[in-house]
Amino acid sequence: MSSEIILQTNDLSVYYGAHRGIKDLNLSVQKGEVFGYLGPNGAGKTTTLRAILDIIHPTRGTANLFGLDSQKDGVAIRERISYLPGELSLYRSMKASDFFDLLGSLQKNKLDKSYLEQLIERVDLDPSRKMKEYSHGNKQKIGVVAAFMGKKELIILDEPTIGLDPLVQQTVLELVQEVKKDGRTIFLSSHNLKEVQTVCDRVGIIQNGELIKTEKVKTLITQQLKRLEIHFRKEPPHGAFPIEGVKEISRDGNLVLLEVSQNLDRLIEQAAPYGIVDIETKTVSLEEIFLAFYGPQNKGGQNV
Amino acid sequence: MYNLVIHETRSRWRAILGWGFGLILFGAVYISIFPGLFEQFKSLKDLAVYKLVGMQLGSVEGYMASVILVYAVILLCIYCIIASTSTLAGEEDNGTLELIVAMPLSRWQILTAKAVALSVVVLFMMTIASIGNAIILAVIKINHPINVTPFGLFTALMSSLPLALGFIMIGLFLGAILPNRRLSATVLTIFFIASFFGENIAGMVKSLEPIRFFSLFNYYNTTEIIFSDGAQLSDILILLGIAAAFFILALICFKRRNITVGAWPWQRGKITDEEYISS
Repeated sequence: MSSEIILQTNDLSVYYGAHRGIKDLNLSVQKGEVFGYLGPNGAGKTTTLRAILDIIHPTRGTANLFGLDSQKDGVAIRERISYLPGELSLYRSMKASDFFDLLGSLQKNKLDKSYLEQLIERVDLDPSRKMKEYSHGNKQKIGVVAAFMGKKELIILDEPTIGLDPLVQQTVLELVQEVKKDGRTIFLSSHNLKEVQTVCDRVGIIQNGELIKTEKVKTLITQQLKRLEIHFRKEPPHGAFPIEGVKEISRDGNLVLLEVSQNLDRLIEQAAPYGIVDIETKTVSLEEIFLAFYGPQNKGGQNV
Repeated sequence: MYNLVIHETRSRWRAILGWGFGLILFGAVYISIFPGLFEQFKSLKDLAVYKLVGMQLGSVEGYMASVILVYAVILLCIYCIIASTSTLAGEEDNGTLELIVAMPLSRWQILTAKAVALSVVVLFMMTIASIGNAIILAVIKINHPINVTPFGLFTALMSSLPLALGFIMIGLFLGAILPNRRLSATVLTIFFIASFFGENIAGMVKSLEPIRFFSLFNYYNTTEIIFSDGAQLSDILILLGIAAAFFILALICFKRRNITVGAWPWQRGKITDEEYISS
């Protein structure tokens, strides 16, 4: 991954009349990285992608891609980008093969037909049928092939694996990793946190249109939320650790499992009187971190 | 852009053939029944209801002008309403426009490609219909003396193209400015009906004469003179001017449009500082 910035938004805001889409979004994506974009439904993920591609015009702020302004230099930017929309709609009476030809013909660079065939084979798609004859999953395969076939420098994927069977999901993740290996960049908006954890280098978390966190996945997992299993000499009473950012998950006699997002030093301080025999750190998944951000007890991740 | 024009045109080949041959069939029925019913039609020529719908039943030529030219063109305009409002607004409703807008094409290129494709489709459609109707007339003329040449009918039918272009561009403009296809089609249909009946009513009521100028049909000649003299250049230029004006308006609106949002124009403007701070 190089330090060259491929995508940079500066106070990017989109309002629909008085309704908020996204607000003062400042994020940057580096060349060669896989950037995951997370957030609950209606948080503003798709609005962000559409504003970046100038499908929706920003109300305020700018989006720069490859050092070019998304509104002024939209055509030059889109020559270097491919996009898989979250709600993929295809021409019902068109054959998939004709659809790929059409998309290829609208590009400046000539399409690599052998790579296209390879992609079609890898996702196990029969391109000779009309769109209306395909199942939802097969339509999504068409979208995936369309997004990857141009070998673009930046690939923007909005929920790419939705509706796909586990095998094809795996293929998509492999494709993402191949793009990364190739030095190209992926911007991945997804609800599937396992896949984000698997392929993404960094994630941005958006809530109510505002970017509340941007972090490396590894850092997020190792630093943001810890799960500690403490073996005490003497069993502490229930509610023994009323500390902000510390939550008791379960206990089995002297063995207490705690989730800690902050104030670890205070926890150790308050736990010491009960005699600490052993402390074990448990791995926390991105999903658990995400739920900690958006869970009912912690809306917005104030305690994460 | 050229490839998009080809795609847009090719995707409508069924419409070209269907509507083209449909219009031939329509003309065939109405041209062929007239010689046998001429005397009966003549007695109805002064009825207001026929004048309201623009029919002239006093002569074969008048009948052909008012039936073939008017009703074939009404059918053509119906196609234009359907096709033009389904092009931008319809594709946005379906979600396919998002894919095209994400391609390396500017908004003006997309709209121009679609406008050109629709114009080509209508041109093909009317060419098929005009040739077909001219052939049918030539066949009927063998047994019935009709003072209209097949070429006269061909050029008269082809002269409806500027009118069709006018409706197409208005449809594209409405698709670019209104939130969805249903509304665009409704507004254009209302305009079309008002335009058609407004022109005919204004022809019957002197005090309503000024409203004619707002009707596109005012610039489309459906009297028998068109078979011999052809369409007036001034009418063609006015219709092409209207089409060009609405095309430019459509370009401006489409460039500003937030695709996939389906918002009214006033919801697309920039928010004020007060709104921004309070939000």
